[in-house]
Amino acid sequence: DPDERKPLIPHPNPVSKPPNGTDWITTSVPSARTDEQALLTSILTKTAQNIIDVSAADSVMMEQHEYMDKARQYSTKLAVLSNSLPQKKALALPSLTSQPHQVLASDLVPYSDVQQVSKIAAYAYSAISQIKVDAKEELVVQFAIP
Amino acid sequence: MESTLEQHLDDTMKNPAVVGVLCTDEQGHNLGCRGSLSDDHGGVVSVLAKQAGALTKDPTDSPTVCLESESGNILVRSHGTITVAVHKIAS
Repeated sequence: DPDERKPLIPHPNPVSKPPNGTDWITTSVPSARTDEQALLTSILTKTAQNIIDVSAADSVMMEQHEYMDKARQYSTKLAVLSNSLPQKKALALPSLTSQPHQVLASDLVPYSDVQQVSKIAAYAYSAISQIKVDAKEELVVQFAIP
Repeated sequence: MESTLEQHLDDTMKNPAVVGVLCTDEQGHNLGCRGSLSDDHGGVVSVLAKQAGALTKDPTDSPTVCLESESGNILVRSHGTITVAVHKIAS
């Protein structure tokens, strides 16, 4: 079906349809054009080519029955293809409990525990700070040549 | 100079409900552990704490990550450059 691969939104011709909201720089080269100007133009050109102005594009007019026909055509095609394609096996997450309601409704972690851990962490941090380099000698020494 | 930390870990285990404790640095390297928590858990513990910390813009707000299970809870909390995990069983 030749229509199958026709893009839904035809790429607007950058020359005839300027991007929305920007002034199109004229393609005629003025006598004195600085590098900066040329750079700016090239940036604008590149942007215009990459932007698809949806509002400026012609909308695809399709009648209701045409639309329904196409939809049916595609779903039939999909059904045929999905039978031949290998099914991607969805990785099943392990089931942790057969009683999700019970687990979710059970008591929250006691705040006292949270406070306790907070204190344990604070003490551990201060204990760690006692571990430091105990410099006893110079690291760099002169070799004495007798 | 690590004796203070070692003593602190021992003291933490004295609590009957605590069955494991682990202390890691920012990269998940084990600084000390006891009981059910060991070297193997260092990476996961430090990453969990770091990711949880990224949930809030306030750098002073340090969250406590709680992993709840039927056999007990593992609470993970960072303080400064270290992360501590405590495994408590339901008492």
